[in-house]
Amino acid sequence: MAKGSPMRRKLLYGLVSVALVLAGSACTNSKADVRSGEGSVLRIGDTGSTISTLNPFLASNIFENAVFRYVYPYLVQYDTSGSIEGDFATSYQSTEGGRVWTFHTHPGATWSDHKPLTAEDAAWTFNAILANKDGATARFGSYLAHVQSVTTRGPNELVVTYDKPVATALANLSVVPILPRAVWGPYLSGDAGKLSGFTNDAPLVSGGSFILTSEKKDAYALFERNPSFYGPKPKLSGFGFQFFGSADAMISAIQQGQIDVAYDVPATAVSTLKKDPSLHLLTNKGTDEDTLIFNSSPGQTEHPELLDPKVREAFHLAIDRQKMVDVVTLGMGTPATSIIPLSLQNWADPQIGAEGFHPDKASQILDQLGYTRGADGVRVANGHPMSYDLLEPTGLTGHDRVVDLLRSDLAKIGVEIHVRVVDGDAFGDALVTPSPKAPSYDLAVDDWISRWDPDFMLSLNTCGQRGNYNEAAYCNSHYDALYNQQSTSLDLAQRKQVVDEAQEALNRDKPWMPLFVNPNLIAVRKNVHGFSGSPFVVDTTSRHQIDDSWLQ
Amino acid sequence: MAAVVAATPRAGTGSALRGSVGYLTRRLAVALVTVVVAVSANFLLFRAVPGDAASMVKVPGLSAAERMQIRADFGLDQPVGSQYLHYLGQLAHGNLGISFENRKPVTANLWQAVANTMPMVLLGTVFALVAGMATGLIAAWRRGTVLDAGGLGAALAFYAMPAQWLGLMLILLAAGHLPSGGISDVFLTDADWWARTADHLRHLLLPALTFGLASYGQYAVIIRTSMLETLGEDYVLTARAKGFSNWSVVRRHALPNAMLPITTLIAMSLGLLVSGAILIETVFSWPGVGLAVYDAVKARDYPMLEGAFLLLTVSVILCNLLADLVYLRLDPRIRSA
Amino acid sequence: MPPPSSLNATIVARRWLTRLRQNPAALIGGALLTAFAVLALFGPLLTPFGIDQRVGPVYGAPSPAHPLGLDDSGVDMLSLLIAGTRISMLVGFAASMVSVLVGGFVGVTAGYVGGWVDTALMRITDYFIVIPALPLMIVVATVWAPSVVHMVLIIALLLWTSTARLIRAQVLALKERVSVRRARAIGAGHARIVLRHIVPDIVGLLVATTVLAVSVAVFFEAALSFLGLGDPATVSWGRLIQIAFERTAISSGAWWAIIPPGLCIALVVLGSSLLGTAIQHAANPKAGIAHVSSRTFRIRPVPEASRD
Repeated sequence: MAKGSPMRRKLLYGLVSVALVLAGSACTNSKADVRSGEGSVLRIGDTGSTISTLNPFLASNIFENAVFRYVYPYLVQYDTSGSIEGDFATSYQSTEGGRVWTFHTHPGATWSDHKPLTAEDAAWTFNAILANKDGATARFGSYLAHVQSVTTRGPNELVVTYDKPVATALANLSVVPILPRAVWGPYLSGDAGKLSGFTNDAPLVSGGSFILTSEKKDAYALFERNPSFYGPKPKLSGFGFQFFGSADAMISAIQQGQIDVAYDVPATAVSTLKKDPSLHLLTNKGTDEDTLIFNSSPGQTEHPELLDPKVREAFHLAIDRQKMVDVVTLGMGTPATSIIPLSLQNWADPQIGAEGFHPDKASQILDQLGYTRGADGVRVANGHPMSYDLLEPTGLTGHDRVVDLLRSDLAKIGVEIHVRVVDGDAFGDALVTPSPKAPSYDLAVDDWISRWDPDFMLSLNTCGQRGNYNEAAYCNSHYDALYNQQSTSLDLAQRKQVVDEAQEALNRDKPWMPLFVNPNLIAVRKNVHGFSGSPFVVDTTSRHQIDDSWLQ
Repeated sequence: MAAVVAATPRAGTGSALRGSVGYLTRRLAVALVTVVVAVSANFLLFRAVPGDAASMVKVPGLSAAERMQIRADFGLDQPVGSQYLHYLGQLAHGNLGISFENRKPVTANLWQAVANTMPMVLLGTVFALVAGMATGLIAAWRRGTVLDAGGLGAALAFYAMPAQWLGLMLILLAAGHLPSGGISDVFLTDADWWARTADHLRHLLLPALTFGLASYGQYAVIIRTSMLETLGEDYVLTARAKGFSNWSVVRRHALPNAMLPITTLIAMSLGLLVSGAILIETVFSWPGVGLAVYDAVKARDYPMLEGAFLLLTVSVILCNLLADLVYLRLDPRIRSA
Repeated sequence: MPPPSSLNATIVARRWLTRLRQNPAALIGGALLTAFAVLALFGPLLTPFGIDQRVGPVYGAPSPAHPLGLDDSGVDMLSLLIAGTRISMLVGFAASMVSVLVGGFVGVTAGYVGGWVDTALMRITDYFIVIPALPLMIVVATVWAPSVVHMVLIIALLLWTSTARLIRAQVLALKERVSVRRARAIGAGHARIVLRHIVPDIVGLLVATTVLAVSVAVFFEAALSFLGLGDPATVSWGRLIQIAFERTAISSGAWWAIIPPGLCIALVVLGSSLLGTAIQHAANPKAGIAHVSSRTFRIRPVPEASRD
């Protein structure tokens, strides 16, 4: 360290220059002016999500699905109002009463590596999935349920044959990406043993409207327009996702012009953003439902009273959903009582589960069951206090408050809740291990984002989804029958009826107790045009959200 | 008394050298033993964690069969003894394993994380040193006055503030003029070097400042104490009586003596810099080692955790050894023993 | 020089108090700690509103009725702060006492027994010193369900090492004293020697270390809570900062949700640092604590080299 003056002087100069550089850089504010208009790259920020994997067979996060939506061709997609339209398939029709679907695909299409993109790619992908649909490719196997065969008639015609007419054929096909054989061949052949180890790193060979050029976990994903895209060319030359560790950082970024769009704006920041003249706030009735989940597996023997529908009914009546909406979403959300959110107008029924907020009735039910309160106010059932473990996953914003409110609401009817916060993956593991292993929790809180077609949300409580998405480990043959019936009812009116019945069945057993729907809040800079909000946090049902936008 | 002027490079007498070498060897041996203990304890720590071994593997939405496969791939189904030997063998090759999370080598992940953390903590340490020296010098020189009490008080006050809170306060104060998250603007892909560097520095400023403010207190206290000790010495009074200016006295005698504890402190702090930055990295979403450790814990990414802990532990051991070496080199009392 | 062990405890205590009274740092530190201790003890009687009670809008601004404003669920911040004092102080003192007890025990054993026991204990201590503290706490806290008791134990898990080393050094010096050697020569039992000759002279160090450890423990509690590893059912200062961070207090302009809890932590840490250092100087003016490093979570002794 410093001994004599020359050394110290050098150090001084060094420090002064660093200080000057820092001061100079702090004064530069070239962000907003350099970017907009030139090169038109749409910069999108989000918080609370990340891209963990680029392998569609392992993906579950909504941003991962967004990547696939823009990068890979899909046979069909949804338009902005929730109806199916063609993507890679320019036209499609069903014959034999809905059992056979024929798709005509874009002629002359290519992948970004200039290899031809034809109906044969679709056939290859689907058949590869079917080959291992109970094993390595199970993630997509369920979307090809009832598919008997997939063949092509020439390079531009694809024929999908089902063993019986399925009402959800197009909805399910809209989420299966078509993959480039050149890249995926080795991983999908045979028993697909190497599939789960394939990281599918960027840059990706793409067939969609954009190419994923680079990606860094927990940081960003950058896309460039795909010049060989078969569909209508997007106006943007590129876009990118940036993942922020905190909502404050994201909001600060959009206010400083560092990003153009901010997804998942927390309700608490709305009033600040509304005052900002350079921003628009898009508010949509969302489909992201916070739900209370009851461990419904036969392995749940420790607290059998929780399996009693009457007890669950008491919980249902004791929860003040409106207060949750007021506190957590600042009144911008809506209470929810069924797993099909009200924003899916064609399928939702506001009557289902609308038993209201009646804590006194809830107390009455528990009194009648003979669960008297102990000295500490906690009721005793089956010889033990009604004191339960509630699992809460980390990384989901606002959940802390939901859990606080749940705890105080249930405390009022004499039920005690112990909250256990676990990280997202330990949470998943705890909930979806097969029932013989007896998931060791009583209650859990999670949130789910629905899709346009109710089939997805209804499927989550089927016996077949145990070990996968069925978080309550619920299995009821009557419900399964209703689920199968609705997926094969082609007549809309009839299907709606069956969907209602399925919801009623779930409402009776209450393996899942919906609480409220989160509002969908997106902040957009005023120079962004054509960007539409959607009921889903980020629209993964079609390319429209980004393909249709442009920067002024 | 001339021996007080530290750090004049010269060899000691034969016995002093032998004494030093003996001391060095002892410290080295202790450090090595600690490293071995650390490596083994590290291994045990992450295999002894309760819970189903299959739950150790984190990949989203994996089926039971796939999890068994991964367990086999990573050797998690072997008995603990053979796992330990395997671990040691891999360590000898510098292989810290593959991260469960992103399937990349742990060494590569850690290297990237360290490269991200270093600029922030180094700049922060520079801030801390500058502020600490200034405060300590002024406080010692003007002992007993408001400058002394005020400077020292401010230093201690900042030192007492939690780092995460200090970070949030700085973000509040910066009120949107400086970025409050991330290490750079990811969309600046085709900007020139100057714009990118300026952008990096803008992102670096707040976290480094937080780090500096949070840690300058210890330097201030040490400098002040050391300077007070030196300024009270006879030879200093002699020098001043002889007419040497205040500043030259400080420069020539007091500062070099303060360098000893300062350098020791820096060396020891280096080892702990990294783990101390977890809070700041969380507030500013800075993808450094601290955040990597935190994410690895949440994701149950055991190879990453093992590797990170090993890295941090060994760096602390090495830096403590370095501190002892520096002390040996600079401390006149030991050398002339 | 440590006071002769035969001296009356009250005389010793009185001597310390005199020295302390003359030390402004001690007075400030003592005042701060006492204030917060009182707040912790009588907190529930003082909270103007319930901490589960919504009294206004989300992030309501400070007003005469609510001088510290409201938090993100409309609860009075002042009440939350007072409630948090209780948990934070409890964890701080409990963790510090446990750690000093454990550290003291290890230190006395290692110093007094010596030999391979000493070496073994010191190597274990060395390991705990070099392992990164916060990461280890995070690992343990993630595996263990969060609760106040677990938090205390986790913090104490890593805090005992500094005490152990300090006490050991002191015991080593005390062991060679004439009075101890004489006692051994006449065949006094080990326990008696330890209790009568050694412990009274390390009491000063123990008390000082306890107070110093409080600052570190409070720091750790805030750190663990901030990282989401605290007990979600309790309110502590650290948790208040965490909630403010996660519920975008900054973007909502709600500075009142951020400033007060951190300020309280800073005051307690400052107070215990000042008081602890002062006690140590009062009891043992030449003893070996260089300074407290709550930033790097260690009570750092003067480096090995210059002490032996």
